[in-house]
Amino acid sequence: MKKVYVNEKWCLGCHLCEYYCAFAGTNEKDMARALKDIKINPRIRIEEKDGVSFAVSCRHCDEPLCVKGCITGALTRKDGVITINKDKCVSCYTCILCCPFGAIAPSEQGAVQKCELCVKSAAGTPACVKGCPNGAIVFEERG
Amino acid sequence: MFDFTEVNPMAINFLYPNYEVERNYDRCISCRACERQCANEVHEYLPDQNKMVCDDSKCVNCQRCVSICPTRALKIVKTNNTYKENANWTGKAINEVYRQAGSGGVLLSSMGNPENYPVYFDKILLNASQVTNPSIDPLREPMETKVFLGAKPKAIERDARGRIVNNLPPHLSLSMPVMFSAMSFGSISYNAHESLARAAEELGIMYNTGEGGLHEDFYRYGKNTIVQVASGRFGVHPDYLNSGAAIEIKMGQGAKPGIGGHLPGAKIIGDVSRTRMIPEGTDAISPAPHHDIYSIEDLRQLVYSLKEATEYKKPVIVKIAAVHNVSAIASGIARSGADIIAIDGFRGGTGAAPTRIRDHVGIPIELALASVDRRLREEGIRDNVSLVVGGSIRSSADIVKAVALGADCVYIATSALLALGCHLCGSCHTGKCNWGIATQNPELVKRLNPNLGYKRLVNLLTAWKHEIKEMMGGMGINSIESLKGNRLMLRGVGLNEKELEILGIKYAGE
Amino acid sequence: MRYVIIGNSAAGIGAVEGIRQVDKEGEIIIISREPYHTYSRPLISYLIYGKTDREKMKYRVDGFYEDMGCAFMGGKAVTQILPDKKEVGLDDGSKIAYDKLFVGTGSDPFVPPIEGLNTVNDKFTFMSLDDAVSLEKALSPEKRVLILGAGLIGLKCAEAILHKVKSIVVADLAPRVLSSILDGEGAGMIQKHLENKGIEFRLSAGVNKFATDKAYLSTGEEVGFDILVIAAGVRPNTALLKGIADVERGIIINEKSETSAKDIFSEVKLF
Repeated sequence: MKKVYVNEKWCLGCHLCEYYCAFAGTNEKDMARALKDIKINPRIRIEEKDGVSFAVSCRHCDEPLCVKGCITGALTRKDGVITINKDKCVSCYTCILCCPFGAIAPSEQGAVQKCELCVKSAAGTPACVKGCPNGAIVFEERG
Repeated sequence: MFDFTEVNPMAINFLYPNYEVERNYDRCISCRACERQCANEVHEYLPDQNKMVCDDSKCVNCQRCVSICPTRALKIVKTNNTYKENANWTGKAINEVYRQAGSGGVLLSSMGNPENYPVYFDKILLNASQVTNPSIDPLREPMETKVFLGAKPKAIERDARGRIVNNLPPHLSLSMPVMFSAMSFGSISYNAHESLARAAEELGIMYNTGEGGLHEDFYRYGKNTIVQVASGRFGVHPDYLNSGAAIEIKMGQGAKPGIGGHLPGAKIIGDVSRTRMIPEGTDAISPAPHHDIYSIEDLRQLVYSLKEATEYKKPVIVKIAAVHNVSAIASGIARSGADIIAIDGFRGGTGAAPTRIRDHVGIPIELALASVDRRLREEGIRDNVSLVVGGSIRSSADIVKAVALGADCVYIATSALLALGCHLCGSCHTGKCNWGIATQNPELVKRLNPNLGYKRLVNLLTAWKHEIKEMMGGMGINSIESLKGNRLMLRGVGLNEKELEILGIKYAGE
Repeated sequence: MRYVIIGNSAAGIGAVEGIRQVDKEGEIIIISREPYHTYSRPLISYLIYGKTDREKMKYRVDGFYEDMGCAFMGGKAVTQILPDKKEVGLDDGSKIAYDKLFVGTGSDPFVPPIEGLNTVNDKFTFMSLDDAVSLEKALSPEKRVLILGAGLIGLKCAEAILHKVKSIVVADLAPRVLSSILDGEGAGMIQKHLENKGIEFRLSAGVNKFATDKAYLSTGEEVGFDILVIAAGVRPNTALLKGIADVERGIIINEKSETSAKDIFSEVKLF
């Protein structure tokens, strides 16, 4: 299954992946209109320290700890993608505590949120991959 | 050599910023990408106002922020703060006096001559076939863009039994008449070199190491590499000479004829120092003459030393700047045993050169090429060498015109860097290239991903190859060989008698 | 191969999914005391609160048992395990044979033997869906509620019913709330937050005696109530394996989830 992979050799820490992710989560056609005066809450986040930067998003693990920890069954695997059923989620935040990558976070709409490979978003194929200016983020299968 | 005695009291701003950053606040989403990507710290985010602001005085107009802004909220405009109009004392001329009055230093510039001298390529037009002789459709008929660079034998030799003897000296084989010109490792980054090397390999052409030596990681691209021996002899050792497909002796460079080069010690660190074989922190000074070449005989000696060192397996190129007596110089070189002469016109680019030398010394490549080609033909020695020309080849049309004026091949550099992202801001000498090209700062070098860069180079040259075929087909020609020196395919417009005579072409309508 | 699983909550469902990762063919029977499709027990407080409903509470989708190829026997309690015959006996008298048995019976609420408890009419535990449904029926805006136990279950119950009743008092033997999870400082923050919401606490207090509508605390105070919720802890269901496998306070298992009895497995008990 294709997943999003980041190569820290090319990550410039420009944070544009975060903005393209946030934009894909809206239904707007124009980024300026979509994100004007908004504090974004993207599903991919840059972490940076000592000159190394790296974008972190859900790894869609083969053995997902978040799914195991979910008390409601809101987190499941569908066609390989670990997905959140927002109606079932009660924001107990167990998944946030479980995820070793810190890839799940609260959202403004009540339920938790994380990268779902843009299967539900306006973008179609992952927006962060398309938006990275330096080819640091790729969408590929890695056995 | 560069003596700076600052006489610039803070109270008087003699130099108003040339360029201003204009931000459309309706479109700006304060994503801070511009702030993060500007090496000159022009942009800043004010958290308490949730607003982006900028300091125009630091902007060099590299367009990095404009290109990377996801909502196209930025543009760079020329300031409309103007001095009183004066056709003689232009704003530029006035500002340069202010700068020198302030610093006491020699003005430095990067990239090629931007001054308003005639561009002869833009005054030459190409022929097309019609009615009397048919054009050729490049999509349906074979079109040969392949060229071979090297000395051509005077005559066919046969052995005692009448079979042809192979008396062909070593040649370079190229898939199209274009090569990447010399840009040293040190003036440009490792990633830029990797992009050039990989593109040259994929395209079947050559790239040139420049005078910085060859990094060991790039020896694997050896058969697409021209190794340069410049006056400083940086990085020159036997493995280096044998690793490339050809060796180029750099006698001069179009951007700075008559003077040498100077890479400041601050840039001589790590890999650059190792590859050049000089200690870290020392200035890399290439002297003006090669201190072992003071006559044409000395040049011949060096040519043959290099051939000896490489067992006569590699062609030797001699690169000269286009200056006033370029044809006489070329004639001497053609007799010296060199296989290829490379001529660099006055528009050629550079990492850093004194502004006055770059802008006022040298002659246009079109005129130099035409006169060298004619002179060598007249002397019957045109076949001793192939001619490669550079110094602002900007498009496939320039290439076709250059070949028609007599060139076997062209060298490109500025256009290659543009493909990699360069925006000709001309601040290479500061070492803060925002596109990761003319810098050694690892944070900035990262920005040029060779996986993306080399593809752009391949795209550019592939497009040019198709265009060359289209133009040739239009002329009814199906190979570069038939285009070479074919001045009948060219006509001039806006040229006077003398220019037409030197170029050897007729006026349009004749 | 027939796998028999006792228990229809997280452990039992986890067992089904784990088995099917490795064995797509073997027969699975899952037996549950409760008749319901697997549901998330932690959500019973959210159900009363109104944040979820019976449909959304389902721990797995409706077609889960069918998709997993397992037979669901709901509303049947296992009363005995016969390891020599490799059978389990149900409360309706029938017997089910097994090749491998998984005991995922979880735990049941501990009801402390306090004098007078039998005189209290409206008393509830708070573990299962049935508990929540019957508790909710009893709630009304003029009722006073006493919750025994300031652990997770007691506090989640308080959170769920606060807006539906007049008052809540939570009593616990321990000197702080959530005593098995938080230190004094952390517990203090939670307690303050809940007190700001209107919940009252009686800590370091046990109940000596109950009357029908009154609790006599060890501190000497008398607390009146209309509804009593007992959330004083849970005890793991080890009865089925007594004499068959090693049990202490819980069922002893190794890192492969094996009990000491052959072909009998169980889940992790946490204290």
